Amino acid sequence: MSDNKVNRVLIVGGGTAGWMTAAALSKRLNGLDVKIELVESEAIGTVGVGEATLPHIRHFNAGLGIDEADFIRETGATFKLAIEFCNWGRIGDSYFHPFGDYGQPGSAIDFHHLWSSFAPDDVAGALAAYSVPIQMARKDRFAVPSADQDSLLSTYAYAYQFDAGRYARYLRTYCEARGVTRTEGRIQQVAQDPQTGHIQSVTLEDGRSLSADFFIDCSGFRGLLIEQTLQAGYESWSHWLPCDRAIALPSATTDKLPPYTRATALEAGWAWRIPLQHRFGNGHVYASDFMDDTRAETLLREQLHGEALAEPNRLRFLAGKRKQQWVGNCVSIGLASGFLEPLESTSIHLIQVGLAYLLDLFPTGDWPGADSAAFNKVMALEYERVRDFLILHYKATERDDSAFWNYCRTMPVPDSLEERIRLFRERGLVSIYEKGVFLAPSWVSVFIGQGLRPQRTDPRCRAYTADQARAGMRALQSDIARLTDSLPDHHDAIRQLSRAHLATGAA
Amino acid sequence: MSPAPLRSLTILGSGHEGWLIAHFLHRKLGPVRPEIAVIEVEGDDGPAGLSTLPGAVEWLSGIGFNPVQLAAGTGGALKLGESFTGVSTTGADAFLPFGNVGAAAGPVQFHQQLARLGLLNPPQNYAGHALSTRLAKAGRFMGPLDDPRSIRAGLAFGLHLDARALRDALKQAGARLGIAHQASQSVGFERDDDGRVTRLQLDDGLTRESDFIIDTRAEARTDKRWRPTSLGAFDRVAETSLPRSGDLPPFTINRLAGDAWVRQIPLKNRSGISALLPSSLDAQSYLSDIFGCDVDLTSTPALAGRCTQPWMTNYLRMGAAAWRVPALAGADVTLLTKACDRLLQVFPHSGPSEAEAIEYNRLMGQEVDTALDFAHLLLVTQTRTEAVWQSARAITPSGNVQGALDLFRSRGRLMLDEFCHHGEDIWIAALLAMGVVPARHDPQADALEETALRARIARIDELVSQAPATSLSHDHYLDRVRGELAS
Repeated sequence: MSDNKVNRVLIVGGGTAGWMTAAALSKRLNGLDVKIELVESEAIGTVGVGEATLPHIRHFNAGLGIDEADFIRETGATFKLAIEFCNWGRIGDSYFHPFGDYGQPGSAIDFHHLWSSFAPDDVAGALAAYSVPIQMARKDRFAVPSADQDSLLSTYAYAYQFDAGRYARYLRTYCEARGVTRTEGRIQQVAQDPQTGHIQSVTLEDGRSLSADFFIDCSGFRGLLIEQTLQAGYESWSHWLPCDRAIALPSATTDKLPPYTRATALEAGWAWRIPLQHRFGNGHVYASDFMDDTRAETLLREQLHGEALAEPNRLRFLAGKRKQQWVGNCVSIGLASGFLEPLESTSIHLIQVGLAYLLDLFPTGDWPGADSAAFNKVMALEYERVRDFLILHYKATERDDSAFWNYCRTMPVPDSLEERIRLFRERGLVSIYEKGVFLAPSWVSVFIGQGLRPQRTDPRCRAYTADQARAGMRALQSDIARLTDSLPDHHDAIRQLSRAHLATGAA
Repeated sequence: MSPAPLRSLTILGSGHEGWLIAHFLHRKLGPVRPEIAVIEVEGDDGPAGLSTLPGAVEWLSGIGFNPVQLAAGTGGALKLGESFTGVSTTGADAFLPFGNVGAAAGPVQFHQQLARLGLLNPPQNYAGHALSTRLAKAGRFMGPLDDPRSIRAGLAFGLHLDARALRDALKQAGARLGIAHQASQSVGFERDDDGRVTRLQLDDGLTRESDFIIDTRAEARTDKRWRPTSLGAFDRVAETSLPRSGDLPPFTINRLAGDAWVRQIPLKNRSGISALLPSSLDAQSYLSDIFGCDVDLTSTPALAGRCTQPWMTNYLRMGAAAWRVPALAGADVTLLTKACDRLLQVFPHSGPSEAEAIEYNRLMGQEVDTALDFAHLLLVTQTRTEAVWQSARAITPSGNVQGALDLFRSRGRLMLDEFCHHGEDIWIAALLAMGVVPARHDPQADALEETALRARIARIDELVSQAPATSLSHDHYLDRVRGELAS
């Protein structure tokens, strides 16, 4: 007999956060006496364009038992191997941040040390030649990575680019088939226990009351429960990430279907381009202190390759996070817990991370405080590490063509990031951490992509003469080029997956 | 272009730590290694015995040693875990096993499964489901198997080592590799205006220039960069050796007695004994009473803590020069292995190496702090009633320890700080061995069907009880290894 006191969970808000939460809970808590209900209002809009992700999303979907081909078909997804960053270091520059490592697998010395020691200094893109996912991305190729750890095809991972609205609907179908109750309605009031302050129920506009033991706030920026009711507080990071507006605008597809997202730095922010099967997702993230909305929309429209398919969706936000993401009997997930601009596709990942920790700490109903303290501590670390990675893109610029970029180039940054920059600049090292989504190859991509070069490298590079190293690197470059030339076209890879899916008769 | 590589690297110290570092760097740096020399500066030979975590085994393999042969050939032994008696004044004996204990059921950890079935009462029952516990209590040993279908795949073991014999073996092996060494009664340093060591002054007016110096001498830890850690009223360590009697246990023995934490490391021909006790206690009489014989002991201040900046300019403290973690943490050797790994990751060139030093100091600071945390965990969770033990419970633990205790007591979960030296599995085993009982179990364990769960646990227990049938006694196992060495 269970003595667990959390038998009813209410998720406030739909969208990606809400339905990912419902899906994860319905899967993990299957077999428990826990009723899951999600309340959302169709009157409340969502961002509604493409969503780029990180490779971890595949594990999330796999954990739910979702068939990949089915998912790709239902969400209009494409594969994603990297993000291309244009004009971030200098105008005219371009580099890729791939999902994968550089060089040969299993080497004792990180490849960028060898490259920094022996490759020509003037070839900014040269490091990219030693990355399988970057070469695949540039050639619009795609193949599933190999499990053979000695193969070059094992040196990368992949993620997806998909329609967030479709994904949410896809997960809704998944959830409702597993007993999650969806309630349509807009919350008007929140009732709290007068002694503990815990949330007892929410009341909808039509007068219905929904009560629960545990509440998960997926209501977006406003944080209906975590902030408006429980006043968790918000820690602003806008002095490091000054962008506070976004315009989103879908556009028609073109004949090319790149397996990567593009982030193009503009005058006072940056524009995203996310290719889906049925359209492109576009957006412009910008700082209102440095640019007005009209100019922002103009710049966004200049970035479109195909015709716009809708009127722009406009958003305001404040970079930062809730001071506490779990208060009492309420946890915030997604935009309700904090906001970091989607420069490195971290929004869905932070939802996933929050859910993983929440499930590890799923409450028993005693509310001892240790659970929420542990959750808040670890989520703060995850957010801070993503934050630092994003700030790096802005700080490590040589651009001086606008007041915005002058601000970014000269702003002080968190000590944690200052140390990371110093460590790389002096010694080509990436600080080692256990928690935090971005591993060393990611940091190397941005450091080198935006022009930082280490003053000194791993001394073990001296085991090679310059001729030996360059010969080895030329051979590797050639192998990667030949290998990636042989891979299927991205578009064909998607079609093939769909055909295989249909052939198996999978639902 | 990088600065010139190190041409010379000097390791100071007379014990096993310096030689382990020398072997590690010799192997890992390969053709770009500097000239490495060990200066055996007279001093402390090291503890009476070394008791390691399993991580030491793989690490030694990685630098070219067969760890089991090394232990067997130097009068050492193997270690399947640690036993505890006297955790409470009235409580049960306990065992902390290495390796797997049971098996997770999806996301539900094994101890949560036991808790769900009411099988964690007392919590010391947990260890009984581990193969290492069964082997240890029967005085037997078998190694892990690289077959995921076998119950032996989850076995792990550490080492009991004779520090002096280990040093001698490493020194001999080092000589065969051409690692230079010399003895000196003392060493002095000449530094330039930037604080870099430019020359070492040795006996008889001899000097040695060195691009980089690694100091492992215990006496090096006596300046303002030392951050002490309280052990309550336990401020003294007494060490001795006793002749071996009876069978050779494959585990470290911890006895929490009236006024001391006594630790016994069984070696081939003797036991290394270390006792953590208050200086108000007559250690000589006390240990003589416990062991029923006269003991000849050395006594030193406990001095737990670490150096906050072990690496400055071209001078790096490692081992006894950089940290003092109470023996009861069982982190002998493995902290040094981590320090070596970190050093390799940031290995310097000649010239300034401030960034490397900052990163190394950060990482090793965190690692040592978690090892100190583990010692504190053991001290604050015992429930003995004597005054000295109450003082230990009154130690203010770090946020990491307090958070771990709060979370584990509440629901049997842990979320530890990064670079946790002992790892979550050992923390869980330790908490249960010390009698910490979660108030509630993971609610997700309730989804597991009870009959099937009981059957699964019974099957695990059956495999655990059957496996030792093909094991050897610990002595016999070591004899066989020594026989292989001789042939």
